[in-house]
Amino acid sequence: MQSPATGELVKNAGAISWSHVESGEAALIARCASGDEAAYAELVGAHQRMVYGLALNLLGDPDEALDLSQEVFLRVFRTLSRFRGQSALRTWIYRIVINQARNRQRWWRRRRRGDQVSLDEYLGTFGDVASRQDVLPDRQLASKETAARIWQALDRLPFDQRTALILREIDGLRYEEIAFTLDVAIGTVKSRLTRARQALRAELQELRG
Amino acid sequence: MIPYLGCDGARGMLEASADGELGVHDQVVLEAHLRWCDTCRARLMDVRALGSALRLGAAASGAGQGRAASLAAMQDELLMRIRAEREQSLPVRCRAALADTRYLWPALGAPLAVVLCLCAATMVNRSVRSERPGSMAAILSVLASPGSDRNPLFLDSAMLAPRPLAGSALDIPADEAEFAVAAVVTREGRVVNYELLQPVHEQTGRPSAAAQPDDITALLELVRRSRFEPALVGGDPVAVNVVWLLARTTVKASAVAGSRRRRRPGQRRAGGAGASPRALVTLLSESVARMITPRGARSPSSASSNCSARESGIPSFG
Repeated sequence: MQSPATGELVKNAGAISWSHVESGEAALIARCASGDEAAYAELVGAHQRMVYGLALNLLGDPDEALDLSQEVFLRVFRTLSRFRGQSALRTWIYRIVINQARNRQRWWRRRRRGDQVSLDEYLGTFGDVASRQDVLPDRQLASKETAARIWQALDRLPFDQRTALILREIDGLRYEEIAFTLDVAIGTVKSRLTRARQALRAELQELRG
Repeated sequence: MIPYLGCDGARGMLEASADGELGVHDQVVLEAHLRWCDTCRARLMDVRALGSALRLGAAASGAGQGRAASLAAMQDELLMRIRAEREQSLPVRCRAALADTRYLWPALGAPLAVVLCLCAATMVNRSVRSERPGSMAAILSVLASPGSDRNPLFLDSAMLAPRPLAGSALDIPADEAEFAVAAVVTREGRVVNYELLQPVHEQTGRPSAAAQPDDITALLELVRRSRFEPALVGGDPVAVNVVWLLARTTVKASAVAGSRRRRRPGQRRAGGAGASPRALVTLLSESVARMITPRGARSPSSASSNCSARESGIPSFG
């Protein structure tokens, strides 16, 4: 359904069928469910960077992120037989990552950026950010100071807002996928994104003086 | 023609536009607005700048040199754990256990024996814990609560004796009879555990059989229905042992020389001269109640209240 004034998409996040799962992915799932170890390795190899990156962004600690990634994949293999294609496999795995990270955060307060690699080290290793494909044309604004301040402000956001923004900006999930991952309505996703961006924009304006 | 879009409507579309979630029509309308509105354009740039900053920070935080090695090690370890978990999974272990049935019956029998032992222990425990009236625990429990209905006290000088409630007077069914009833007046004022004490003839020392069985039955029924204000110790009601003495006595007065009318000098005799004085004989036949109280026990009320006419039952305490 589409609102004529705003073009707002009102969709049911659960109304996704097996058509969202590609045929190759469905075959991989079937092989994993039958206990094929090669399929396990293939599935892990295809998604471990994504899982680790999201866990690292949510937890901020590389060791914790690795540990969480293992737990996520173990849970994926334990519950893969219950996967009914209600979403893409990637989105389903995202959902598990979010739930595991939320559970873990209840017990472990975040020690954000303690082991973070500095931006200078990153630039020295991988070159200028202008050479990266995922950097938008307004990269002049995204200096390292700006990025550091924005991430600090991101740390102070509530978990749900932070998660929605990370899934959108870093992992590039669509609203519909974020809604399924967080198990909320699409309107809730939009409101969380708006509130998170308002807080970060205030930080940005303060940075500009 | 592109419809007009104000700043309020445009601000609602900015984030969706930056996220690529805006429909084509709305995108065209928004871009037409952004061509002349610097404020909304700046807002859109801010949204995009935030995304760039976040992606830059994420790339930096995940750019550890050992990340690829760590991920490879994680994959190997993960596969090992999955393999071990499958080998140790319940169906696999069940199949392995059932492969050799020599261990099946001991494995089933041991838990069954434990369950039976637990049941037996529970039954024994419950039977021991249930308190019987004649058990030592019950006796100790009764002794530990003096003044209760099961452990009544004996009256002493510190107590306020039980008083019959108003309107609970007894009418002894027999004439010229005395009864003694041993009873317990409970905390609620009821009479329980009553027992008729057999009167003893003074000369023979044998039990006298003055009362008829019907009278005794009626008397005990009256005793059962009577109500008292309970004995009090420090203001708290307590159950007490009492001996209740019930008596109906006929008192016959002898002929009494009636008081003669004395006339004043000069006063005329009413009814004519020569009228003989009338002798007044009064026959009193009333139930008299007596209350025997121990030395020092406080009477609950004045003596007159205990000796009112027709009141025939007052407890006696030994």
